[in-house]
Amino acid sequence: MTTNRRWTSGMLTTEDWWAVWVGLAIYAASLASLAGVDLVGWMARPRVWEWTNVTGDFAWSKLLRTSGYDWHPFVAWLATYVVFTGLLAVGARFQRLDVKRFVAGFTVIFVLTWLCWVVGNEMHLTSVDATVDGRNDYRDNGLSWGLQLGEGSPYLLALISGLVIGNFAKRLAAFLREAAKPEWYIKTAIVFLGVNLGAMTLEATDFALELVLTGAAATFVAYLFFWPLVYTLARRAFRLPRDASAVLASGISICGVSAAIATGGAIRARPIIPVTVSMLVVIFAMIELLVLPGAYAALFPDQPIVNGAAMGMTVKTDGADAAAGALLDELMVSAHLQATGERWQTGWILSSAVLTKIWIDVFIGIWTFVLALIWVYKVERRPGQVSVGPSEIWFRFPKFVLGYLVAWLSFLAIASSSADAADTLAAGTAALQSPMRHMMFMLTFVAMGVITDFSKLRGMGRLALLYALALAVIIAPIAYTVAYLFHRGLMPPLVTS
Amino acid sequence: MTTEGGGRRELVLSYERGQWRARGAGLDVAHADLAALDTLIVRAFEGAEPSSVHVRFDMGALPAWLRQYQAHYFNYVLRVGRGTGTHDGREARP
Repeated sequence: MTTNRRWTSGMLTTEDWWAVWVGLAIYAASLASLAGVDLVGWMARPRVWEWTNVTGDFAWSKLLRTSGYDWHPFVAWLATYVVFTGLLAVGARFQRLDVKRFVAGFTVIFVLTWLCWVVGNEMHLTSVDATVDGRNDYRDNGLSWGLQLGEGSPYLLALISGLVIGNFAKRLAAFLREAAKPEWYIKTAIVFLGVNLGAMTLEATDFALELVLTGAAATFVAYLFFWPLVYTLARRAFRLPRDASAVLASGISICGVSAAIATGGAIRARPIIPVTVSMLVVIFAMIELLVLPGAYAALFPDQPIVNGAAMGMTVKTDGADAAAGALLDELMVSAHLQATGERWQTGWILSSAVLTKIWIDVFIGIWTFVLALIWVYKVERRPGQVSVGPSEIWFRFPKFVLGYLVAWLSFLAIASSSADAADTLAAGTAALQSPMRHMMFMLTFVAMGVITDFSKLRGMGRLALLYALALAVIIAPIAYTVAYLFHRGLMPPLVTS
Repeated sequence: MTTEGGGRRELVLSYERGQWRARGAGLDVAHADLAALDTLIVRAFEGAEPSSVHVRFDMGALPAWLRQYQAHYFNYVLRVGRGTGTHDGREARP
């Protein structure tokens, strides 16, 4: 039995809180660098490599390297596996998951993730034909062809691998299900992203603040339009009942599965309604993730931050949004580099997508509390007999946001204290900011693919049509217009030599 | 009747085989309609002193894969006891 009774409920039993604990534990370990101790230098990371060079004379050091320690790269990779598996297994134990199945499933997902990550770093996939600071890696390495996807190629490989398992190897997908937790992995990555944002805020304070404030304003405007329009479409054009329309409107227009469940609860709907809508959201979020990053990068190459914010308002579920933001970031940075020879700093487009989504997530508790009051007092007309407490806002609040804020603001506070502290902190958290965050994103891509089964769309024709219509006619155009109004002209800072 | 937390009654709500089910405080009632279930709960406490019953949804009643997205469905409070009555006219047979 799992009920929420106190404000501390779920602190040791939910993925949301465990994203905070795992993220902050690793961040705390990286802070030991301030005392001159490197506790995260074991983290492995892939190298960019070239096929003929590695097959002709294989060495692990051509594929992998460590973040800090002078270890054999394969030993560092094993240490990475042991540390993350151990931390996540502890979380799984507290969440009352089957730990043996979790570890077995996570091991398969981990190995697949790294396989995609290493293969995706092959030069013919990543290297971009552009000259930066007098160097052109593509030409210097004598490549005759290349997809020039930048860091986007490992993400695409991870996503495709997961989808193949989820749709064509269903027994394996069922075996992996205990460990296929995209929300847990992405929320942990978002806590790491808080450290990134701290570092980015130091470099471009005004830009970061503008991103935060315009993100909040854009989200507020989007809320005003999305929900009433989708609700009206569901009621008038599709003749759905009130409860199903409300849950669908939240799922489609606010933050996907979490909004569908929160709204279902707020209006006291039978659980089958948010469960059905959630299945639909997970599948459509995957379609959005597959289509939108490439489409935005191709159609609007000069609006990186607008594209990121529009993604944050359009793509549902935290996992799919952050994954789409990361993919968009890599694709746009590579395309801009190829077209102009200018290298945008990575992370800003992703941050615009994530910040916008976080505002949406934060508001869901307040919105559903208001909705619950409307339902009790206006729809069910039972004032006096039934009441809803403001604790509902807290129970529905996305807790990983707290980890994100703690990481962001504490990094900023420590780094602002002195130039020496800033340098030490930047070096000490480098493993967390890059390879660890990337690995959690990669795990998310694989896990999302594993849990996405397109065959579940069967029998959902009418609801799927409503979803597609609302997305194409209401959500995507309004999101892009609002993002354009608030973010137009914003460009990521350039990488300086 | 058992009570918890300084006279505060608590019921655990779940959804099983197409029915809402509330258990706790010596009560075990089920109904397909939640408002009608509330009526059953209010009736069960009809002769008692006016008080509140805290109804908390058991997340175990939702599929496990959903809980990573949202770990809360809903809680609410029912006013029960003398004078609170049931005036919504809903059918409420367990």
